[in-house]
Amino acid sequence: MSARTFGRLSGKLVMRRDRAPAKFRGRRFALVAASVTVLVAAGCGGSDDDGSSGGTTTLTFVNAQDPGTFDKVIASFEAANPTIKIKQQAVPFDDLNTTVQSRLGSKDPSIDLYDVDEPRLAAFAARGFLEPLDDLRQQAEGKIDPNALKITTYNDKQYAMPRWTSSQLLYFNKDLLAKAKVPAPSSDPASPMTWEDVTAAAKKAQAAGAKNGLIWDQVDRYYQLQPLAESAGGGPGLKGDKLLEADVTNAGWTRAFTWYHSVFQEGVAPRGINPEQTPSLFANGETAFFAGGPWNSAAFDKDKTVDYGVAPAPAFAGGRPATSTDSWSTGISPFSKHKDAAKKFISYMTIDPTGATETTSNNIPVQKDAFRTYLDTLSAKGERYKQMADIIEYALANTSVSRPVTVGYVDVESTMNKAFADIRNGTAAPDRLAQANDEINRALEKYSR
Amino acid sequence: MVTTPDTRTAPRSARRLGGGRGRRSGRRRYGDLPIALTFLLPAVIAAVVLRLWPTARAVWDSLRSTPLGVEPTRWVGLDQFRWLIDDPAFLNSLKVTLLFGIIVNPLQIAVALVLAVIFNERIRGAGLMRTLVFLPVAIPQSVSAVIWAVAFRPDGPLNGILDRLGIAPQGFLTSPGQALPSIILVVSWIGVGYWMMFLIAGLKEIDPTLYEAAGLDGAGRWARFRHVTVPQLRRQLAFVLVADTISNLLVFAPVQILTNGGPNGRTNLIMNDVFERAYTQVDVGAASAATVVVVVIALAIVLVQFRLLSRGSD
Repeated sequence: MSARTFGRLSGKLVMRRDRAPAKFRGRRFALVAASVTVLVAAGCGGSDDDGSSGGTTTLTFVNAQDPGTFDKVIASFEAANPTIKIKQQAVPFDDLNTTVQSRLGSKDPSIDLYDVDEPRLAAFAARGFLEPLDDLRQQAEGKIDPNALKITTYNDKQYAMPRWTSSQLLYFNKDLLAKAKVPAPSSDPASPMTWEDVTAAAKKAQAAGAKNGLIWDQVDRYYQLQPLAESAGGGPGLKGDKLLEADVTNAGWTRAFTWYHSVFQEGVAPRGINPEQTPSLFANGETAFFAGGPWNSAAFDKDKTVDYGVAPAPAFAGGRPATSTDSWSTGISPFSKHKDAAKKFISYMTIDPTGATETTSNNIPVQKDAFRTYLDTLSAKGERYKQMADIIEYALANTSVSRPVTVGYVDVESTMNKAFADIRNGTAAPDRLAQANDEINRALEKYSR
Repeated sequence: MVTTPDTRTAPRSARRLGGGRGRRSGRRRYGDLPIALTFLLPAVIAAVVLRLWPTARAVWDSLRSTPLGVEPTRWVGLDQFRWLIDDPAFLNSLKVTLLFGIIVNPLQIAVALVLAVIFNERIRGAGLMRTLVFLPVAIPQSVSAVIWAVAFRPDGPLNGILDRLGIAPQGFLTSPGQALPSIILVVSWIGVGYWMMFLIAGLKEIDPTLYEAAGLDGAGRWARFRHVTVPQLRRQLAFVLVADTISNLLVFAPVQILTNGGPNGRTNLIMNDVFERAYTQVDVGAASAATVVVVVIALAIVLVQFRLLSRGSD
C-alpha cells in the first residue's frame, strides 16, 4: 500500500467515525477481537484433534518408506479391525528424526506410531519419546529373531518392535570381469573375497576398460563403513561402559580407512558422488564391483543393462568377515491417545506371520515365518537369487555387526559420516580419524554433564 | 513507514469535516492512532510472535542446557558460551563465515553494480540479458544447489568442459581449497541478479541532466561514474550492502546440500553449524547460544555499515 492510498483510506475511516462514533468504536473492537481470535485460533489449530470420530480410531503412522510399502498390511489390518484406521504420513528419510524429535519434543499427540531407525532407539528412549512395549516382547519371544529384539531394547526394556533387518553382499559385473580375465568371485557364503583381492581385480577391470573399479552403495555412511573397521579388528569406534568414549584411532580403524582412502586416491572408486548416485554407476554397466544390500538388486534388474553376479561381502586379509545389519522398527509415542490400538497394529505388523509377510515389501523380515517365506520366494526367482538368499541367511547368522547401542549414537554417526567423506575426498586417514576422535569425545561430553 | 502519512492526514481530515469542539481535542490528542493500531495489529502480532518472542526465547535457551534435549533444562548461564568458544568446530565456523563474508559481499556488490551499469545503457539485447541474469533468483536456492551439485561432480559437465580445453579436472566441492569458492560461485549466481535489480532501479532515478552537466564540464566515462553514478546511488548501495551482508551471513541451503560443511569443515558456515547443533546433536542450548552470537555479529555489522554510510551523506 502506498503512503497516498493509506492517507485516503484513513480519511474515509475518519469520516465514518464522525458519523457514527459509537457504532464504529464497536466495530473497531470487533475488528481487533476478530484479528486476535483468528491469530489465536491459527496458533492453536489442530491441537484438539484426537483422531477419534464416530467410534472409529484413526492412528497416524509417521514413516520414511517408499509409497505403497504398507498398503497391503494396512488394508488387511483395517479389514480385520473395522474400527481402526491407519493414516500414513511419509517423511523423507533425512527428515524423519528431526520431524519426530521436534513434534514429540512439544508433546504433540498427533503421532501414534513412528518408524524408529534402530541405532537411534537408545537416544529416543532416553529422551522419553518411546512407550515401553514389554508386553509385546513377551508375545514376540520365539517368533522374532532374538538379535533384532535385543537391538530394540534399551536399559532392559523393549522400546520398539523390529520389522526388518538388512545385510550386505558384493555385486560384480560379469562382462567387465570376463573382459579383464578376472575369475568371478565365489558365491559360497563362507568364502568371501578379501578387500585386497577386490582392489586388485577392480584395477585389472579398469585397465580392461571399466570406468570404475569399485563403489559402495552408501559411501560416507557409518552403516556401511563400520564393518570395514570391524573386519580389521577396530571395533565399533566406541568404548567404555556406556559406549560414550571415542575409539576410532586404533590400529583396526587406521588400517581400514587408510585402505579406504587409497581406493579413492588411486581412482579405483570415483570421488564426489552422493550415496543417492552410486547404484546408477553399477546399473549402467560402468563399474566392476558394487558393495551394497539386497535392496539394490531391484534397481539393477529393472535397468537390465548389467549382467551381474553376487558374492558374500568381502573382509580384510587376516580379518574377520563383518556385515552391516539391522533396519527399521516401529515404536509408539508416549503422547499418543490410542496406545492400545497402536499396539494391536504393531503386533499384527511384526509378530503375526501373515502381517509380517505383508509388511516385507523389498526388505528382510525378522519375524521367523516371514523370514522363511522371504528366503523361499527369493530363491524361487532363479539361480542368482538362490545364491543371494544363501548369502543373506549365512551373513545374518554369522557375520552381522550391529551399530553400537548408545544415547550418543547420532553424534558418533554424524561426526564419522563427515570424516568418511573427507577421507574419501583426499584427507589422510590417521589425521582425520584423530580429529574425529576429539570431535566425538567433545560431543559425548554433554551426556555426562 | 505507514504511520507518517497517517498522523499527518488525520488532523487535516478532521478539520475538513468539522465536529464537536470537545471531541476534536480528543481526536487531536490521539489522531487516528486507534485505527492505525488496528491496522498495525496483525503486523505487530506477527512481529512479536515471529521475531521478538523467538529472539527472547533464543537468549533464554542459550543460558540453559539439557544433555538429551528434552528433559527439563537447567541454568548454566554463560558457561554455555564458554563451552561454545572452546569448541574448535564453532571457532572454525566463525573463521569460515568471516572469510566467506569478506570475499562474497564485495564481489557480489561489485559484479551487480557493473552489470547494472551495463544493462542500464541503451544497448541491444540489454533487456534479455537482464532477464537472464535475474532468472536464477526465480529458482529456489535448494534447487539451484542440486543443479550445481551435478555440475561440480568430478565426472560432471564442468570438468568435461575443462577437459575439452586441455585443463586437468578439478576437485571443486571435494577439494578443501576449492569448496568455499564453489559455494561463493553458487550463491553469487543467485545473488548478483537479485541485487542488480535494486541498483538498476536506483540508476533509473538519477537525473540525466547531471550526466549532461558533467559531460559539459569535460568529465569522461569513469569520472561520470565516480562523481555522479556512485554518489547518486548511495541510498541503494547502502541498502544492498546491508541486506547482502546479512543474507550472506545466513546462507544455509547450498552448504547443507552441496558440502554439509566439508571437506574438513572448510565450508562450515555458521548457520550450518547452528543447524547441526539444533537438529543433529539436539543440543538446543548450544544452538541457541550460537544463534545469539550470530545475531550479535549481524547487529554489529549493520551498525558499522550504517555509520560508515551515513558519514558524509548530508
